[in-house]
Amino acid sequence: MVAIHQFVQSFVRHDAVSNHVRHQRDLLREMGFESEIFWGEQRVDRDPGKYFREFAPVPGDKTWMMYHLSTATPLTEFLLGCKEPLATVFHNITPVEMIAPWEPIVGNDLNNARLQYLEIAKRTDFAIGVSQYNANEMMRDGFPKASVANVLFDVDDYSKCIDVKLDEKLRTKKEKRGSDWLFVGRIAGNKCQHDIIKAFAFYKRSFDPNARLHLVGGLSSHRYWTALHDYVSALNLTESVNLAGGVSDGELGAYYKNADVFVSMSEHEGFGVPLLEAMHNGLPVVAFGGASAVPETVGNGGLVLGDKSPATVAVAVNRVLSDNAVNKALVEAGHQRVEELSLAHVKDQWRKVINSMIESA
Amino acid sequence: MAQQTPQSEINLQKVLLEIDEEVRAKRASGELPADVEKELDQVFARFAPPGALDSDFDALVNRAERQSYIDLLAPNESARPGVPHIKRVVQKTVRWYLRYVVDQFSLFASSISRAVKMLGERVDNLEASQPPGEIAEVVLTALRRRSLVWEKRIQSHFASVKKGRVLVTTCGTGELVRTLVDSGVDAYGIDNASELVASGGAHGLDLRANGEIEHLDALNAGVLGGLVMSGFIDIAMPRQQVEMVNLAALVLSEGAPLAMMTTDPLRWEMLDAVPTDLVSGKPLKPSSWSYLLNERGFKDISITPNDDGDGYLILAKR
Repeated sequence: MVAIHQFVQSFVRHDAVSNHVRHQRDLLREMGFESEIFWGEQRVDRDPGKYFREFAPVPGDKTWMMYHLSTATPLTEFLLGCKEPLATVFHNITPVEMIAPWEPIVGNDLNNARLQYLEIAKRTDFAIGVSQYNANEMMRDGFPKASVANVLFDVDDYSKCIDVKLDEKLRTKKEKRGSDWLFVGRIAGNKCQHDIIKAFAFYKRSFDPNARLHLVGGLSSHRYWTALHDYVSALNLTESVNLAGGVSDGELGAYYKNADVFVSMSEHEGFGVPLLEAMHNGLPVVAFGGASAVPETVGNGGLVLGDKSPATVAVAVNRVLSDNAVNKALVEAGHQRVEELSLAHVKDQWRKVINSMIESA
Repeated sequence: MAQQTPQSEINLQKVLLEIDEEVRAKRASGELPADVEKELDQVFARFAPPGALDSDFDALVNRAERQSYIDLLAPNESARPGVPHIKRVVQKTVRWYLRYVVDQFSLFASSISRAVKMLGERVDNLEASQPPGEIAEVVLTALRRRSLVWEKRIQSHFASVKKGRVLVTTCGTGELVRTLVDSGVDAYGIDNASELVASGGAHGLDLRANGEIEHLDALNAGVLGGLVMSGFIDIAMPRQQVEMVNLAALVLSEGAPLAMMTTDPLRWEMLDAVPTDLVSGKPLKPSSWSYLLNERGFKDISITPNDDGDGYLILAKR
């Protein structure tokens, strides 16, 4: 019997890596491997997995350890001490310089994560990036030649119910005129919500004085959150910028339903599931490419800008919202992109990668 | 209200080019004022901690210096009755201890920021002693002119490109870009000389004012269908020359063609003795380029001297 067990620091709800790990466990079992999820911490009641220290390989079985690397964790030391072959799946680590000025303590954690990543590189037998961007980074940092297989993403994980009360509130505002911009992502320096506000302010001034912006996402940096609040106040945009913070599934569904465009200015993404979620919800996507996996995730499913100056973003959004043909084409292209990265298609990528991993042993 | 565009199929690359063009035109007409963009940046900078934004060095150091003095008086307000009083008592009680620690820390932080400031002044002096940018421009002007002798060879080397755009670096007014575009290749160019780029761009070419390394560094892996390098590679410093090859290896797709137009280092000073003497870098020998390309996994490397014997065309495939 061949076993491929997965290791992940956090196994939690509403988390792209955790959802991926769950789908991958199902796939590994479909392929005939014995497979369990071992975590450092977990908050998923319906799908518990096991604490990593409970891992005990069956003697005589060929066992692979598959580690999903995205943060600093006590798992590293444990994995370095094991003898089983190790496959590392890299979901990327946010660059320290993007977080540390806002949250020095988190910056320190990210520094540790980078150091652990370099240690894991030496121990890794088979490397996998969830994007070409991640795979390139692994190879640059001393991992073995990295294969690419994307994040397993099931649209059903992201099909939202609608919060009726919020839906009605958003709809009422919409009926009064003005377009609705939406971004969904943690409130953190690397997500650059301030650049969205900047571009939105410019757009409002140049194209649509009645426009509204909704920034949805839980807090990863309180200091950044405060700066966003102060920025919105200083620009006199408190009436039109909604810093929604973390929301329920139903509220998120209402935001998606009532938005006209999804705008992302994020400077670092190892893959970018919210972009696909937006496409799945029928929103045209305007995103900054930058040095991240955004261009390869968006593919031809959205407008990827090489420049995030407020003027460029405002003109791009205006084009998307004022030209029906472009708008329709982007929505269709988005659906097509979600189909290309559908669970069935990405499972095929993983089957190939897992087979070559087994052959490499 | 949204307008109807009569086309049913949309080419997103074309839309992006149209957006760039619209931005350029509206900026030029003053419809999208640059000072508003700058003001938006400045307002956010008031709320961001040092290092969070790309501010200029002097502003950052001055800010760090200001913040090296730590405020001992934490806010005492609270909505709950009695809590402000408790906070004031705690503050008074531990003040002697905090002052002792904070004094030492402030001294340390202000010494560091002062040292960084002095270091900055030294770097300024060092930079001021470098030859002026006009020297590099004199050399580049000569190099741009020479690149046209390889027009036909480059055209045939890039004829097979079907996927991805071809980038021409140090493109000047875009003559070589025009040659490639006319032969059906989706080419664009970059050059640091913005006035040249603007003049070429006015003739319908996609030319951008951008530095060579800066632009290559911003591209994603495997995104280019081909790359022509000339000009800057001859005057870059050795570290930058190696970096250019590394970046080329990263941004070119598998099998994509690369062309490098280089100058014979032995004939270098014949171009114009004073500027070539004063410019920061010198051309590499073709064998050194070949070595670097081979090291980075390029295939089918060929080196052809030009008729005048003062330069080389190096062709390779990723």
